[in-house]
Amino acid sequence: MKLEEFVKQKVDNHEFAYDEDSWTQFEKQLSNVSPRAKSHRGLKISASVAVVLVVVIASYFLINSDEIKQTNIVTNVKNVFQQEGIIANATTQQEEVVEKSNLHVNCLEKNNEIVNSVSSIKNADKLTINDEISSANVPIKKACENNQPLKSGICNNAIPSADFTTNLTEGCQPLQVKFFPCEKSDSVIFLWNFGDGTSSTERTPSHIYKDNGEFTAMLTVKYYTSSKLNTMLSEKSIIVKSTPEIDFEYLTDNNNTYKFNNLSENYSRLEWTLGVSEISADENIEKQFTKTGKYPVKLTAFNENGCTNTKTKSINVDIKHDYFVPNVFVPNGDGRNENFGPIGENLEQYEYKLYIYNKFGELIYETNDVNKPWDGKIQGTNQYADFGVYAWIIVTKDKFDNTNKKQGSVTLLKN
Amino acid sequence: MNLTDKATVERLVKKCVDGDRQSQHILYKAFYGKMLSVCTRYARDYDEAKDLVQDSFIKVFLRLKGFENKGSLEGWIRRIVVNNAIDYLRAKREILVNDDESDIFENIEYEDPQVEIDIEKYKALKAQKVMELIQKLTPAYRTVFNLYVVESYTHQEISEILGINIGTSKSNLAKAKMKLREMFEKELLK
Repeated sequence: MKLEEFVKQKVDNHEFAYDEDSWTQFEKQLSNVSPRAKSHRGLKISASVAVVLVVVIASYFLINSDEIKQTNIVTNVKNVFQQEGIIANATTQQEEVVEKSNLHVNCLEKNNEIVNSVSSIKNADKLTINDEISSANVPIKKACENNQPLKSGICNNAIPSADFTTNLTEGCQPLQVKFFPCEKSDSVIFLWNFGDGTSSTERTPSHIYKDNGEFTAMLTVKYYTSSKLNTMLSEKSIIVKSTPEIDFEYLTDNNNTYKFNNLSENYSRLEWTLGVSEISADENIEKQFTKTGKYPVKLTAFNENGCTNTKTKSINVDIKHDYFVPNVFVPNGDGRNENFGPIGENLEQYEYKLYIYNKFGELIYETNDVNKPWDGKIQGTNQYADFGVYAWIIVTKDKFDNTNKKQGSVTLLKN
Repeated sequence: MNLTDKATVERLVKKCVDGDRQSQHILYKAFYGKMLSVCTRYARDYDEAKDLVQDSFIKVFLRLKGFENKGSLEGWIRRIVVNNAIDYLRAKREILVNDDESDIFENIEYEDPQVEIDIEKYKALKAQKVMELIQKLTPAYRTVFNLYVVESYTHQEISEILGINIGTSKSNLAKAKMKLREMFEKELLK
């Protein structure tokens, strides 16, 4: 069965119990609108008296309740609006602020609440007595009695709801809070004051509180066409808890050892994360990298509020193999500079390759042995290469699989 | 009094039109409970509904002369009551546009979700409860739902009646249905 069918069935069969009081009340109204009633002349008179009484009492209550609701006049709201340049002509009109007693209401509960201008229908039907019963703008007429009703149907002193909700009331700085007005009407001007010196006129603004502290957000609303303002301060102010300030620096020596120094403030605990698995809770840490690569280093700071902050820096580690390559040699048998090859203390630790090319790009010498430098002869022959410039490539690889490749040129001299 | 009998209705209506208080009372009594139920679905609370129903009956008696006794009297009265409720809602039009989203739905065909329910399970839901839960819908959802599902208006008609666009009407109906189902299911778990 479809939901609609089910509901329709249920609803169609629903009926409230009859109550005689309703009739009694109704009959009074009826006697005024149906003049053809032949009898009940006395009743008619007494009914009229009763109706007048009802109207008087009703208007008394209406006015009274207005007074109760609209006591606190906050004049600076006017200034707020003027500062914002939203309403220029609002000055001449009365501005009243409804201080809601039930602050921080759930919009769902308030949804059925109608602005007080129209909620007075209770008294409205009594008004119909003397009126030709027209369409149902009666409640508005009543509400606007003392005020010129405007074309929009919203009378001049109608007040929209200034209630609102937020998605959050507490959190760590910087805190992004979304604001939702309970007022559903399209024809409303919103002015949000976030309590930290900033404001917005959006309908559902989102605001980021940058500083920590307690902020009281305020919403002021009015209908475009009405003059009354309505303000609501959020009862639960927005608490922005302080978040640690985070920073760190790093220093490195030639040995690929990095020192990380914490520069954070306002924290109670730290956590360093190096790569995937290495974790430390020390203030400052030191780490030697053995392999070329990019290493993310993450620092997380925690404080008592339960707020955290993190910073990640990427470390580029480049393991360089250190050796010297001469740029000239003289294979003349005098015992000085007879061979060409790299010179360095650590070369023995590396896997090693040396390639020599002539100016035609032909490989003329190749070795894996660091102890066998190029003697100037074309490999496989006993013939010395010609005087001139030769290109070299040296590739070294250490035990951590870091590979270095260097290239350059060397001049072969003969004399 | 048998109000399904045309002749009886004819006589009653005539007497009412003539201003016979007793007949008016009979008619009022016969339909008061039903019409109050109708109003409750449009009003925000019981008190408002009671005001609406009184207002409606005044109109009923004023227009009774125009009743032609072709359709059922109840249906005729009900039309007046519903129209009156809509007039009233329209007067406070701002609540009928439910949310910012509605614009988004303006131009897209909103699929009407077929919400199937297990009737055996739902038997436990009393009519009174169903009424209460409908009442909990937002005015925009509730109104469209009532007009479409209970009064069988089309989206085209609803959009004209309420001055909203068809897309809004469709989306409000769809959302109302989902909301209602949710509330029903929750209720049944209790």
